[in-house]
Amino acid sequence: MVERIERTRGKPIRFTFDGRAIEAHEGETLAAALHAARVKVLSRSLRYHRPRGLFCNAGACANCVVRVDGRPSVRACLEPARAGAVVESQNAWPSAATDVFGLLDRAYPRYLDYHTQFARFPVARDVQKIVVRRMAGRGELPSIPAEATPAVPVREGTADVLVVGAGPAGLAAAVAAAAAGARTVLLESSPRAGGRLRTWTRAVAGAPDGPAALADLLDRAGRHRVEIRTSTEAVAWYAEESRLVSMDAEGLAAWRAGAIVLATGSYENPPLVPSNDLPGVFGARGAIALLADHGVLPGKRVVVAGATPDGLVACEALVAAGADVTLVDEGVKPAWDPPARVVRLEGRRVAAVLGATQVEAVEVERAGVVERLDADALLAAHDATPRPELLQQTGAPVAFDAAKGGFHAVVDGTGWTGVGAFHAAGAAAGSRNVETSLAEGARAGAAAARRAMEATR
Amino acid sequence: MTTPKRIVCACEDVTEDELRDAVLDGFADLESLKRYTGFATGPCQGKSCVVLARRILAEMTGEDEAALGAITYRPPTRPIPLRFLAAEEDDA
Amino acid sequence: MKRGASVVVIGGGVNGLGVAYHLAKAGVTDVVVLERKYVLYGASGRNGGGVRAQWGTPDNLVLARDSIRAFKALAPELGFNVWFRQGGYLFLAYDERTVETLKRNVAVQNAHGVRSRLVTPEDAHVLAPVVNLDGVVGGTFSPSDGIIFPWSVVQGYWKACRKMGVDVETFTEVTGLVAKGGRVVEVETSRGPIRADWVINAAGSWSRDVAAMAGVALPNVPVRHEIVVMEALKPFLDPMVVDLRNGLYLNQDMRGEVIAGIGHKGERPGINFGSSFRFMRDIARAIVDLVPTLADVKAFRQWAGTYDVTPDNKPVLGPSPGLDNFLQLNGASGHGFMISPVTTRITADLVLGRKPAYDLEPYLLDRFSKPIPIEPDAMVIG
Repeated sequence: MVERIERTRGKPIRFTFDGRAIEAHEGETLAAALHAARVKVLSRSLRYHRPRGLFCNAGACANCVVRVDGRPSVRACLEPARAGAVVESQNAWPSAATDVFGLLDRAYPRYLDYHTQFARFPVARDVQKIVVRRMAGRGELPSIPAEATPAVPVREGTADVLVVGAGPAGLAAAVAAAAAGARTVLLESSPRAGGRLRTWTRAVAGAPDGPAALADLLDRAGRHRVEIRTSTEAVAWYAEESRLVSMDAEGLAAWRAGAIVLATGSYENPPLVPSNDLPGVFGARGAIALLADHGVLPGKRVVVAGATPDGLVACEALVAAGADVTLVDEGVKPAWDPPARVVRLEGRRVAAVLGATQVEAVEVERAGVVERLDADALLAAHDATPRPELLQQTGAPVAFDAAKGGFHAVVDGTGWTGVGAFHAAGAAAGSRNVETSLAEGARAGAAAARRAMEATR
Repeated sequence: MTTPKRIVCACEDVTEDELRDAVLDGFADLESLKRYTGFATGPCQGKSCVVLARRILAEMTGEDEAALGAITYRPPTRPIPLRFLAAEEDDA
Repeated sequence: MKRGASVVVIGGGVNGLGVAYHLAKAGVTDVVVLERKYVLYGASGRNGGGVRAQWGTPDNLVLARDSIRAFKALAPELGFNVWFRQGGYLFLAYDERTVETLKRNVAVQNAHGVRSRLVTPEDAHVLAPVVNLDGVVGGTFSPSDGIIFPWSVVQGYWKACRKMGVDVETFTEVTGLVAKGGRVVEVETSRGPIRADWVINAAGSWSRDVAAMAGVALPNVPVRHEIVVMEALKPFLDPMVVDLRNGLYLNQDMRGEVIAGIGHKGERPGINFGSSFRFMRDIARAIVDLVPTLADVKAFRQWAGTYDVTPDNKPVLGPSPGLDNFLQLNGASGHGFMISPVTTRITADLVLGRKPAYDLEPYLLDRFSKPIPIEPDAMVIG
């Protein structure tokens, strides 16, 4: 069974990873191509040199960083594959795949207490300082001539309404704002707009499924002239200058807007179980994005942990792609039934992950009884947290709700945070499902448009 | 096999055992625990680990997660190459 | 929380915990340290770890020189690693006038036992090969200067204090000071009052507010300084490098991260820990000019702290006029951390009734009301 599913792909290209030729296609990320080539170990961890690979596939965690054409610590999940690129693993010898320093993991089975180790032994302490300094850095200094790395001007951008995040809430907000007459710009961190709508298999907002609802929203966004910028991450809100700064492959843009809608979604969290950091453990949405964006299977014998909507959508996508799937419900009652081919383990939790350099098995547990499942991927679908950074930088009031993933923005009926011209919608405001996100997004977008246009009057 | 460490902070390789020992050692508020163990101080700046660490801290101290609060999320949310910032002001 | 103690220390940073540590080691453990937030909230948790004896005035120089010796011995003393790496400080000068100032400074430093020396651009290249030396006409280097990990120092003191029986009360704010008969007798806090025989003001950037609670007027003013950290790389830079055109400082810490700061002339005094976009652009320009290879290196966090600044850039130490038991331990104008081992020892000596090993006159608060003109130390950077 192949790693890549059948679909149209870009032109075949090749790059090298640690000297080995890797087949790729134009339009793929380094991570997708490497994963399809069964290269799962991309890096080694800082202290124990444990094998690491893709987890979030969204530019959030830093487990997939590699050296690309002399640039250190580049996220493989964001970097497009380019013909002839020289890609290398970092901080491992001879390579991430077979790093001799992996012994450190065994040498310190619990943990290394660097605070106290050798503190009272003069010679050992001095040697330790030298060793630590040598081991500490992740990448090497860039090896690109200065002429090839010119400074890039910061672009200035303006909008009536600026929406951050093109998932259901953000798209709905942008469409509503633009329909109300506001000049609207929509920033999306990933290469494609849509978020969960891209893979949602249930009926939503009057459409038969997510992709249909997405097509409709994109159509309306086009008609109302929403400017959508994908692969553009909002990296900061600077209160002092009243600018939202975004970053794309070209550089930075500093935005002024009459009103801003934060539809920033959530980060996926790994399960806190033994060897939860092994390559093959994914955030469920990140894994399904690998499949949806690039047609690359996260695994062929997959355990999905959490019978949440994200988990169920993952089960469906994986089954359709031909993988064997086991669903461990983690105590969550599924909102609908997974496909019949999915093995359902009810009342179980994931207890441990096993493997030498990648997932080889997953242990599940119920009432003290442990069962071992053969697996090559574990998708964590039951723990996501609203992205906190911009919410905090804007001063938006937040409330803690464990059921909603943690701290989320508190908004009024129009999606306004109560602070400045900031609105919030979707997971950022505690939404737990796609329908709610769409509805709240639309309200927030309309309110943001009113606010922005009142300000200019 | 990798050792069965439960990794709280993947960037800085902070394990659950290390975190719990630090709390017992008196680093029992979120910010102090962060500075002692190093979680959230690495390249990703706490995108997953804060949630996991706060849960453990809440369980160990009996405090509400709401009361334990959050760390300070500073710019940028994604690392920025210096050359994206280094142009002269007039170039815009 | 205790209702009375021999010594109440206001501020739980490197100075507050440092003086408590010295007191406890000398047998005085009836000490309460009051920290308004979490330990390392203030400048002790925000600084870039620079430790240097290359100062312009003997009054700053000797404090730093002897603190360097103390830092070297600190890890084995505490049983706690502080990661002090003596890679030296390299100052770069771009005009002859600055070189003349540096010449004078080196003479003073050498006279006080600090082995700093003038360097040529060629020397600078050997010391820091990655630095672009266009326009550099000279500089100085002192090999005993270096970089420490500030969090570890404070955590080491904190653990030792706790072990020796000092009470460190975090999230406890001082709200007032009660003075009677020429002594501060009680400290009022958000958790109730504490009677005290000695009160030490180690409140960093909040020292003036604290002193005012006892009617003592400190001239200290807090001024924001921003700082940025770039991704961790394998070692490529040994010394701390300082560009004297703009006060930029740049170093690589023990974790391989590149840390840099630069001051802003337009900065208005006041407590401000906010981060600005202007700073990121200013410092990126300055860094890429000085070390062009860093153009493709990524900044991943910026933050800010405040320098507790006095008119002459020297600390305020010793008793307060009219209040013999109210000791000042602040005003170190951006170099408090690097002189802390000595300033805290001086302060502990005063409490213990020992004669400090340093003449206190240059540091006493009353120097600001004397008719002698004030000469600020010109070597403040960042």
